[in-house]
Amino acid sequence: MEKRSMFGIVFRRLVRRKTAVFGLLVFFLMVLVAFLADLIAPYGPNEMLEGMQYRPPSFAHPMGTDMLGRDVLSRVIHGARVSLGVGIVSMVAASLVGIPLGIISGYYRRWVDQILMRVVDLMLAFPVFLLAIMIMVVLSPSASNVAVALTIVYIPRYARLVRGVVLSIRENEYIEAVRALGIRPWRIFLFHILPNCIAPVMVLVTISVGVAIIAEASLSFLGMGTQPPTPSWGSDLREALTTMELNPWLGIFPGLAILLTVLGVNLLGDGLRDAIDPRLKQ
Amino acid sequence: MNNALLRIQGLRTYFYTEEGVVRAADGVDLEIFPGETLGLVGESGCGKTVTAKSILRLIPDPPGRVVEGSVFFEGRDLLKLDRRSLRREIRGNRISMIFQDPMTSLNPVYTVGEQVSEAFRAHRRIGRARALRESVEILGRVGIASPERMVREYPHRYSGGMRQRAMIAMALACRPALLLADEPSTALDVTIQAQILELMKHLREEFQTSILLITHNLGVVAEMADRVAVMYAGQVVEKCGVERFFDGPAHPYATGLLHSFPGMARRAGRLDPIPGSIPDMVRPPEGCRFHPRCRKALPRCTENPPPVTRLEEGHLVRCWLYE
Amino acid sequence: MLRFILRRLLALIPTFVGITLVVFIMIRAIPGDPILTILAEDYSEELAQEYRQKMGLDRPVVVQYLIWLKGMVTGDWGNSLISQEPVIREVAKRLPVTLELLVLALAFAVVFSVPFGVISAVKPNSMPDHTLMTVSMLGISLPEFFLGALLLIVFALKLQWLPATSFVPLSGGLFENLRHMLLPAVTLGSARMAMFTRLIRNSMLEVVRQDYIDTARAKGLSEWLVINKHALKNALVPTVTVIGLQIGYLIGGAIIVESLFALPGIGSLGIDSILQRDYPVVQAFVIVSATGFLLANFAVDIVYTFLDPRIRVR
Repeated sequence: MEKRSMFGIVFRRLVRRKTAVFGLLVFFLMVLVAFLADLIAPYGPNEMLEGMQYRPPSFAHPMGTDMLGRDVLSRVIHGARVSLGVGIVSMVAASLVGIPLGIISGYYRRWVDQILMRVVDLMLAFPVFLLAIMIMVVLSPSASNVAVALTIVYIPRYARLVRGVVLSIRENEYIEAVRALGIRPWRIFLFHILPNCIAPVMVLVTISVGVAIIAEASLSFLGMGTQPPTPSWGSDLREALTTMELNPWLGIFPGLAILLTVLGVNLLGDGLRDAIDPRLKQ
Repeated sequence: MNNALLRIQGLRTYFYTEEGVVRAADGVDLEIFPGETLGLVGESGCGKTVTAKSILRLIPDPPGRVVEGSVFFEGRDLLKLDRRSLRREIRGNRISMIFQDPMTSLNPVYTVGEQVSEAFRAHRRIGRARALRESVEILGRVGIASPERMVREYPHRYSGGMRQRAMIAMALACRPALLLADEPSTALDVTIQAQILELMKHLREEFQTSILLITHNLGVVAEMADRVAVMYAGQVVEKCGVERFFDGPAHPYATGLLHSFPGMARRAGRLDPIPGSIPDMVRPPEGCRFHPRCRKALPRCTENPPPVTRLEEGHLVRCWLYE
Repeated sequence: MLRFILRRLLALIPTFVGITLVVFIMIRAIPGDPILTILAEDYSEELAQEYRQKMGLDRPVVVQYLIWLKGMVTGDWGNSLISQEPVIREVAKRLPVTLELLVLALAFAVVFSVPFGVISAVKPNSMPDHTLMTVSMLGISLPEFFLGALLLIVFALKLQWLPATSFVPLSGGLFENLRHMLLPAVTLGSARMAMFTRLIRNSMLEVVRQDYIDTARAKGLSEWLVINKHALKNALVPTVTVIGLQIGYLIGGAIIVESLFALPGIGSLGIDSILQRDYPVVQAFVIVSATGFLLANFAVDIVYTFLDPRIRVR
C-alpha cells in the first residue's frame, strides 16, 4: 500500500510537468512505431523500388528514397526497432544484473564488496563509449552484440548506484530492527532493500536508455554496430554521409529520429528525477 | 512616539507556493527606538525571520514578495527605496544582519578576512590591504584570538562560536545604527551562547547600536531585551516592556509561551506547554488566529479578528479579552 | 602541495595496471589466431611455430602479460600490421591533434556554459531560462555525428565558410589550424556545453538559497558580486567533479568526431585500426585513451582541491 501511494505521488508530479508528458508521449509513440513497424511502414525496409534511386521527399515517399531505391520512411520506421530495442533491452538487462550485485556488495560488504567494487572501479576507469568499442572489438559487429556490449558497460554503473543506496539504508535503524528480529536475508532484500532502490534505478534506466540509443547509433555510424542492410539510424546516416550534400534527406531523417527519441527519453528521465526528488526543483 | 529608529507598519510578506499563498508576515507593526534592544519572540514559523529579512528586502522573489506595508528608517521607506541606495546606504552600513546558523552563514570558499573586508569595501573607498588591516582589528575586538593569523583562514577552520564572532564583526564593521540578530546564539553550545550574548551586550554599549533580537529563548530575552514583541501566525499579538512581560503578559499566547519556558516554569512550579501546533499559514484560522489553541477563547474569537488594544503606555495587545 | 600531487599520482598506478590487464585480456579474447592474421598467405606450420616462439606465445600467460606490460611501459608497442611502422611513432604523431581537439571542445563547453548557466539560474522560469533549458535539452539529445554532419553540410559544403574534411597542424599556422579545428571542436563540445549549462544552473539554484548568500546581500554587496563571486565559486565545486566524469564522454565523442571530420588523431587511428584488425594499434589506442581519461580525472581532482578549501591539504 505504501509503495503504491509513492508511485501515485510520483506519477501525479510527473504529469504536472508538460515537458515530462511530452517525453512520455514521444517515448510511447516510438515504442509503438517499433512494435508496429511491419504494419505502418509503407514499404519493406530493404525493398528496392525500380528506378527510384535518390528521390527527394514527395507525397509518395515523405522522406525520399536512397541510393538503392529504398523508401527512407520505411527504413526509419524499422530503424526504431534496432534503436529502441538495443537501448531498452540493454538497460533492463544491465539493471537486472547490476541491482543484485549492488545489493550483495552493499549488504555483505567485506571481501565480496572488496572484489566486486575493484572490478566495478576498473570498468568505470574506461570511458563508456571506449569500453563499448573494446567489447565490440572482441564480439562481431551486430545489433544484438551492441546490446550485449552496452549491458556489460552499464552493469557496474547500476551496481555502484544500488550499492550506495543499500549502504545508506543499511545504516537505517529499521533495517537493524528487522535484522534483530531474525528475518532471513532474502526477505530483507526483497521487502526492505529492493523497494528503496527502485526510484533511483528507474531514473538511471531512463536516462541511460538515451545514452544507449546514442551509443548504438554511434557504433553503427562508425561501422562497428548494426551492419547494413539491417535498418539502423546510425548506419543509415553513415551510408548517407557521402552523398549528403546532394541528398540531405538521407541523413537528416534518421538523425531527426534519433534526436526525437533521445529527447523524449531525456525529458522523461528529467521529469522522473524531479518527481522522485523534488528537492532539486524549487 | 514618533522618534522611532525603525517603524514597520502593516507589513505583509507572502510566499507563493504550489500549496497556496503562505502569509508568513500578515500585518506586522513594530518599532525600534534608538539604543534599545527589542526581543521578537514566538514559535518557529511564526514569521519572525521573514519580518527581519523583509526589512532589508532579502526575501527571495520568487517565491516570496512583500505585498504591503512600510518600513520607515531614518525618514525613508526602505520598501520603496531604489535598490542601489538600499545596497549602498542601508544594507551592511546602517542596518546589518546576522543569521541563526553560523555554520552556514559564512561562505566556505573564501577566507574570513576576505569576507569581513568586503563589508568595509562595500561602503568605504578603501583598498584591499587597508580593509584587511581593519578586519584584523575588528576580529580582535570581537574576541578572535590571534586575528592576524585567523584572518587568512577559511571558515571551516573556525568553531561555531568563532564563526558567530566573525559574523558579528562583519555586521558591526560599518558601525550600523541597527543590528538584526536572528537567533544569534541558538545554534551554539550553552557556554558559547553565553559568551556570544556577553559580546553582543558589550558591543551594544560600545557601538550604540539598536538591536532587533529574534529568539524563541525567553532566557535570552530576559538577558538582553528592553522591550518584547510576541509574534503569532504572522502577526504581533503583544508588545510591552521586558519587566511587564515577565511579570505576566496580557495575551493568552504570551502567557502560554512564558509558562512553557523551562526557566520560568521552575519558578511557577510546573511546565505548562501550549496545546496544539502553529496553524497552517496558507489557510489561517478565522477570527483570532490563536483561538483553536486558546483556553480563554470566547465565541466571538472564532468569528472576527481581534483589534489591538492599548492597555497602558507602550503595552499593546491583540486580543478580544481586553476589548 | 607537490607531495600531495605525487601521492595522488602514485595512487593511480594500480588502476593503470588494471587497465593494461583488461586490454591484454581483450586482445587475447579476440577470436582467431593472431599468427594467422600476421602470416596470412605465407602461413606454414613451421613458420607459425617460429613466430609463436618469437612472440613468446608459447610461454605461460602470466609471463606473457609481464613481458607485454614491460613493452607497454617502455614504449615498445610493436609495429602496425598494416604500415609496419612502429606504433608508438604513429601515436606520438597523432596525440597532439586529439589533445588539441579535446582542449578546444572543453574550453568551448566551459566558456559558454558558465554564463548560460548563471543567466538561467538568476531568473529561473523566465524567458531566457526557458530558452536556454530547451536548447540545452536538444543539445544533450543530439548525437555528435548528426550535429557534425549538419555543420559540415551547412558551413563547409553549402556556405563554404570553413574547410570540410581536411586538417592543418599547428605548425601550419595557428589561424589555419583553428579554422580547421573549429567545426570539430564545436561538434564535440556542444553536448557537453548543454550538459554543463544545466548542471551549473541547478548547482547555482541550490547555492543561492544558502545562508551565506543572504549574508553577502545583507553586507550590501552588489548583485553582480553576490552571484559571480559568492554563488558561482560554490556552484562550480560540484560542477568540476562532473566535468571530470564528462571527460569520458568527450574522449568517446572525439573518436566519432575525428572519424567524421577525418582528423588525424588517436580516435580515427583507433577506428581505422579496428576496422582493419590492426591489433597492435588497437591496443595502443585503448591504453592511451584510458590512461588519458585517468590523468584527466586526476587533473580534475587537483583543480577540485584548489576550489574547495575544506578538502585542501597543508
